[in-house]
Amino acid sequence: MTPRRQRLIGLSLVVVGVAVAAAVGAGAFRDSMMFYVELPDVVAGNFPAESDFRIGGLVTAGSVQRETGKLDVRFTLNDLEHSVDVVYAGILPDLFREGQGIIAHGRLNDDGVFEAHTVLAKHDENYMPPEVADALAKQGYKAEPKQ
Amino acid sequence: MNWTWFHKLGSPPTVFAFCGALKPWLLTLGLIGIGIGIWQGLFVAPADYQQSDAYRIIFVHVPAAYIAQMCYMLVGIASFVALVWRMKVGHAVAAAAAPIGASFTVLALATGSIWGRPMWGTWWEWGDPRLTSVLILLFLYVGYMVLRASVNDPLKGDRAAALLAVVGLVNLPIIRYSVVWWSSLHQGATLITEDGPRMPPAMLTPLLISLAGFTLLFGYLLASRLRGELVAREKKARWLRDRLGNVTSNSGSSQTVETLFIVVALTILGGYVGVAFLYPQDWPVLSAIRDSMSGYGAFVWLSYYLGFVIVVWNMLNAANRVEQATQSARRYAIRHEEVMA
Repeated sequence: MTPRRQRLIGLSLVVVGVAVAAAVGAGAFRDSMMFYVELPDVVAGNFPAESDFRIGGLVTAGSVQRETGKLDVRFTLNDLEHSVDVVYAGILPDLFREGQGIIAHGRLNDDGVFEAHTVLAKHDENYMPPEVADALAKQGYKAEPKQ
Repeated sequence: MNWTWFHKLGSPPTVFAFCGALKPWLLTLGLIGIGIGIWQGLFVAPADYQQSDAYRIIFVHVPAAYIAQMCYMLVGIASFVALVWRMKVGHAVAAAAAPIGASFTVLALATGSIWGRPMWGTWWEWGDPRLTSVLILLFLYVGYMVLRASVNDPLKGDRAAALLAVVGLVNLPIIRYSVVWWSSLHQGATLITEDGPRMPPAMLTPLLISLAGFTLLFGYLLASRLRGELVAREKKARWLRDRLGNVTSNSGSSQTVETLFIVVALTILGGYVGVAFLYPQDWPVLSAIRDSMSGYGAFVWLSYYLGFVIVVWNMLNAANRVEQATQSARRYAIRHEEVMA
């Protein structure tokens, strides 16, 4: 075996080894990295009681209630099957609207209402001009442009 | 198989001449592409149905993020080739590319953060997989540069840093799939998906033009810096002494101070404008700019301004490095002639 071939194999093995280590490490992080709890688990009571965690879902249409003159807002998050009530006092991101995917960070109180200290809006990968979105909505399509 | 072309790529004089011939073309086409792409992105492309004009940040953010990753790929592969085949030019390519990639990683992180504030509702989300993996990319670039500079023997420094660069390649697929494997605030891929780009041609065309322009400009920056690296590494070689007269040089003094001055001035101006933007002062011109872009003017213009600063910094820095290396090689050549005489 030539020294060059030795270096080629050795270096390739190092890269593969690190990749495997990274994959194992990433897999271990998978659940805990964001302290993220799925909505079914929240409903079933499987969530950390003593610490903050994140929940995510769609803002239920018609559920957003604002108190006049205050920042307080109340809405429901759903994953089409389960839903959780959320209360939040703060400035909402510009992408927050009914039907939008959002992530709330906070904890569940004794009444089963999620008290959020942070609300973040998630954007999807679709881009289109407003006129196109309107036209699609009129035809009964949801926002999903096809080329 | 005939490997002559491959061996030619490993020959410093060939690479030096090749880069010199490509440089003016890459610079001209790159600046034209960026100009057209940005003009169309800012003023011609339609607004987005959800993000309104705030989405226009992508015409800087996406090219910056693309170059950050493409450049790391180049650093990693060049380092791999340099380690396995003992090809000196590979180390020179990696060393020339790393600072450019690091600067565009900073730009990608900064513009993403500026977009995230109005859209997501946060500047930065710790623990988010996409954000974290790109931050690690920045640390890899910095680690590469620091490691290379911190070893006294240049050859050992090259090899140690190259090993780090090759290992760091593992991070690239993690960045790409971070939005698929984990629950990330960052949206999934728009351009490369199974059913084509999820973006209409009116937005896609300026983005692709901007991408092409930034890529060509990256080529120019790399060609410049690579010439500088080769001059610095080969100053004892005869081929370089023969060519030193051909290397353009405008003055005998170092441009470091001027460069630093321009960069500091731009940064102070940007910081001032940025602060004025983000806090509600009622200054005539600033509030007009702030109210533009459907109220997202502060965020959009700040992003474009940062892109401008990074491009200017890169061009000054590249010119500076070439100048320093050339001066040093000239001094060596003069001493050499004196000794020979």
